[in-house]
Amino acid sequence: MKSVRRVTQVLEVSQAGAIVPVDLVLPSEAKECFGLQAIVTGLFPEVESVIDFGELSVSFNGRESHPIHQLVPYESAQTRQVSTTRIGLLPLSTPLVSGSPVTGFYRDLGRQQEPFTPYQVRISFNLITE
Amino acid sequence: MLLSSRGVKDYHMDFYTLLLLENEQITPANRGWHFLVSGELPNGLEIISETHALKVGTTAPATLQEFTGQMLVKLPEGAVLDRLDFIRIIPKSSVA
Repeated sequence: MKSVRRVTQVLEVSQAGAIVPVDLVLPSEAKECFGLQAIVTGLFPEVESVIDFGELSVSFNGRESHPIHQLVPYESAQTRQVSTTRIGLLPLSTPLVSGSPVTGFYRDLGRQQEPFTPYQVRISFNLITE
Repeated sequence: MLLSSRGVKDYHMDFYTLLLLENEQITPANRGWHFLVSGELPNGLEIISETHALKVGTTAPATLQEFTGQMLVKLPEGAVLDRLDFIRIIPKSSVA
């Protein structure tokens, strides 16, 4: 029976310009990734909302499929309060080979001023499982 | 094995040398896969491609450093490095 499952990977970004590898194996019952969402979690009072807070690249099936290479935005708390939309889910339709790795990287693009505040990036994979 | 698992039946392979003439440079865009063969890289050197990014000294080393397509190379201040060498593989389109 088909069902939907969400798997989240949390990346820790500890310094400006950091490059954090994405390296995980999705559950073997996952047959397709139908969406991905990357959200910066943290509050940086000195940073306005920007569309290029970081850069994310993700490949599936041992780099056979590379559907994502995009900028990751940051929404300030103020913007978040008045915004009527939320940072959206990127729709995908990527068939998955069971047990194959998901690889890639997140790169901080240095939008914070000194001192740097460590933060997290939550990457959620929406999966169809069987 | 690496290529056949990606469905690549035919490909062009050569050595690709990137001369480091500036502290920051971008390679031309192409469909190639670049496997890094240079050793003894300076700490702080960054190689960022579409599928993989390496920052020497901070990123956990992978067994195979593979970069796809266009690359951005950033040399840290004071680093002495004049070239990077790669094995480059460009898949050929298969005709049915």
